[in-house]
Amino acid sequence: MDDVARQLKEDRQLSALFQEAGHHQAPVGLADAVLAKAQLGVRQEAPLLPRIGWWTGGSVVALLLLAWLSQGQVSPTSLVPAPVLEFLGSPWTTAALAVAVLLGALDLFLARRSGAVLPG
Amino acid sequence: MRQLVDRYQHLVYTVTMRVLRDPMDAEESAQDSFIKALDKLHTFDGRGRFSTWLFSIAHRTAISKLRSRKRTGSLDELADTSAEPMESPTTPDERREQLDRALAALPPEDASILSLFYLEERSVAEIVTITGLTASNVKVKLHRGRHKLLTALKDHLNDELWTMWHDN
Repeated sequence: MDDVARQLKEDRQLSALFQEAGHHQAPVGLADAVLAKAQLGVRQEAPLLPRIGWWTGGSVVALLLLAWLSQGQVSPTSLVPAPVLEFLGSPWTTAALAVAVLLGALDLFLARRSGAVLPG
Repeated sequence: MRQLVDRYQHLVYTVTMRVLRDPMDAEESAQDSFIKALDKLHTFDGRGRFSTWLFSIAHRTAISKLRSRKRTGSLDELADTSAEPMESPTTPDERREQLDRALAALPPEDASILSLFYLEERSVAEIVTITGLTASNVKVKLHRGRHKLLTALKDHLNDELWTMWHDN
């Protein structure tokens, strides 16, 4: 018997042996353990800001933006007092808002990235 | 998600068990593999077989655990290659035990590669994807592993059973 034929025969025999032996049986409860770990991960990675938080925050930012844009056209009859407009238009307020939006967006991004472990 | 774990748990556990040869380590590694897979599910591009992608995670997770186990020296090699020859196995569990004892004579990664080739019927190209080794390295390990496994089987089976199996 030449080498190729011998190797083919051995391949066939080993294949039959592995197929007969089959797979190891996973321990009972493996799926439950995986699901429990995955759900634990979801709780840890859930976004800090819910959807309503984004709508509320977005509305506040839009109002502030409008107020800031109208700052140059303040009239004595304006509904927003001048000191408030001054505060809203300050670089500190703008920077604080920018940082809040940035952190919120990062939180949302991380939560979406781990979305694969959401149940169902 | 449960369906995915239920469907692949025996396959993944077999991969981790072939590498780690310890039920507790293999179970922990299988759990970690599924968690990683669920976490990275969005990166599966659907071009190859899903099971190949999953095997890749399971194989690499088990190899990583094996390396850390070797570093810490927490467990000795569990292979018992000095056991008495086995009687004729009748149940799948006994056949698997017989095969595992023979596979214990091989390095864990080689045993896993043989299992992927003969049990899961994966091509060399798929094994390359799963293990991250080169094609020539996989071929060498298959060739060397086949030879070692046959020798180990001859040692572990009694003469009558070996002749019956080998001459078939």
